[in-house]
Amino acid sequence: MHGEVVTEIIDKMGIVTQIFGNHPHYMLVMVLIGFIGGTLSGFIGSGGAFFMTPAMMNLGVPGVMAVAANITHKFGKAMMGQKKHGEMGHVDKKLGIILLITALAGIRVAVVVNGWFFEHMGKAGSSLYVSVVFCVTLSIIGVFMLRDALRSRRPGASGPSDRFVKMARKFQIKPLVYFKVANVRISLIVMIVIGFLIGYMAGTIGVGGFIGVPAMIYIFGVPTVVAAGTELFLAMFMGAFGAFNYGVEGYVDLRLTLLLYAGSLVGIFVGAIGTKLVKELYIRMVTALLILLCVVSRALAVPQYLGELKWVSFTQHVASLCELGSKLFLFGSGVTSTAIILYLVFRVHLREQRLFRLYRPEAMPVASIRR
Amino acid sequence: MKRILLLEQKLDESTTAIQYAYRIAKRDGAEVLCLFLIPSSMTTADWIETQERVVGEDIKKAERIGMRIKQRFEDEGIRFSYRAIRFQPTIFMKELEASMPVDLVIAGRLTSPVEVADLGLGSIGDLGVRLNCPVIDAEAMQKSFEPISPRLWRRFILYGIGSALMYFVFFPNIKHLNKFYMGGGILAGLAIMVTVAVHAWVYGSTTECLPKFIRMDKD
Repeated sequence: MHGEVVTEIIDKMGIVTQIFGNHPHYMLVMVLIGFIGGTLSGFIGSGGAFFMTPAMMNLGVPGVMAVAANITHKFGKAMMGQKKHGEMGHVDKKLGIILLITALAGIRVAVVVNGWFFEHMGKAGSSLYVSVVFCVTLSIIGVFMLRDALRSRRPGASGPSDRFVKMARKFQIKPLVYFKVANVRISLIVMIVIGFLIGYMAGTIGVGGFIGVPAMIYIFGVPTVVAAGTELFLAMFMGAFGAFNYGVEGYVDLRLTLLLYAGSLVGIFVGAIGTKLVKELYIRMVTALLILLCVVSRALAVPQYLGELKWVSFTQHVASLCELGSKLFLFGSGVTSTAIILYLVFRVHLREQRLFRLYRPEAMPVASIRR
Repeated sequence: MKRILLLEQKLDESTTAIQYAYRIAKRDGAEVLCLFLIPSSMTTADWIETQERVVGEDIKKAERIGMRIKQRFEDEGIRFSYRAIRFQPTIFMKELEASMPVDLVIAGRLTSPVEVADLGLGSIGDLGVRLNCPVIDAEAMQKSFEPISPRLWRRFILYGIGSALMYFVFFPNIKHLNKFYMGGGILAGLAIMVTVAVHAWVYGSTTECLPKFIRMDKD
């Protein structure tokens, strides 16, 4: 059933030109993708890439170029996002730096592997590889996070599950390192392994936060807001390294990156400020639901790549349905979750403003406390 | 309104939160209960003795300040009581429950310890949900009524012009520039890093102003 491996002579520069030439409105869609990704990123510390990478692929961008554009965009977005979280005291730089060192090694390995798939199996092969890794990894994370968020809604339960934290503490391999902002003690060996995996995922599917943030919360026991802020700090350097590596290989089309920025650098500040206003449980629930819907979306795109590689044959009708389903799940989930976040954030903001107007100083008696 | 709960971490007699508590209590004839929250962390055994000494000194300072505030409030006919407690999860929650019911909570500048954040109280909003009453962040309220500074306007305009230049001059020529950027090599990699960093900084500095204009960002 396996057909020939299709080797394509790829004009990397022409791909995006062709996409925007055939569908000029995709440029606005890219801005919207960026806005959704930025809002999610600021709110949950991640979520930009797991939405933006497959969203770009749904527009016809090859997997490796979507990852390259996203990881390049991640650099600048994370730089501005962690600046905001840093002002709010959510960044543990020591934790971020240690994870970063091994993450960079992971990224380099991922760039080489990703590039191999693109050069030897073409656009379809690259997209298939990225999609499979995406689906397998994020479905595990999404199910776990959703179960945990639902558990937290029960009376008496609060905060993320500490089951893995307790397990990790039983296997604390020395040396142990203490992190002040996060207020946790972690095995250096465990951090090296997790850091490498974060980097490999970031380099493969452009997603680092959805490994890094849950790892920090559920394995290291870091509070959610500190995990979100620290992940953005980490993402800044990982993005820079990823941008450099993919740029050296010639996969970064700055049109994609600049269009993503147009939306994401608006959304990221709203999302970051939202972490101060909105209940922490909602953050985790939105994250988990969004991951799972994006996994469904990516899974529906796999048949298309199998067909292009001639490994499996589908009727045109089935292929069209899968493609439509993939787009619907992805954009539907992204738009819905962003709308939910914006609703939650603005509801709290407006309630706060109403409260302030009720108790504003000008409405008070002139006499004030005297020393 | 009958009862106001004042949460204050800063050991000072005239914080914004105390000023507001006074004004609201005076207007509505309410009594004020103040909890001075003394941060303490017992994570490192080597430092326990030192931390205990520091916490003890802060508690005594809080009690002196509380006494002085109580005198001044009661001179104005306002009932005022206070307690100095360690800002640790179980103690904090126990004291909050013991303070209920209250009609309003006024919070000073609180740096919520991560332990309290793990109880799902990472923000003022969480506290309001848990206590089922309005919670005011005193400093946020003060900032929300300050006029927008000329410096913010200058920043928005300056970076806005820079952003416009990047999109409307740089972007239309990207196809030609891509011959260099997508040509591969170390120089291209470095150029991409520099370009996106500059663009993100300029454009991000513009968009950063937007939440401040609508008072969502009070920093």
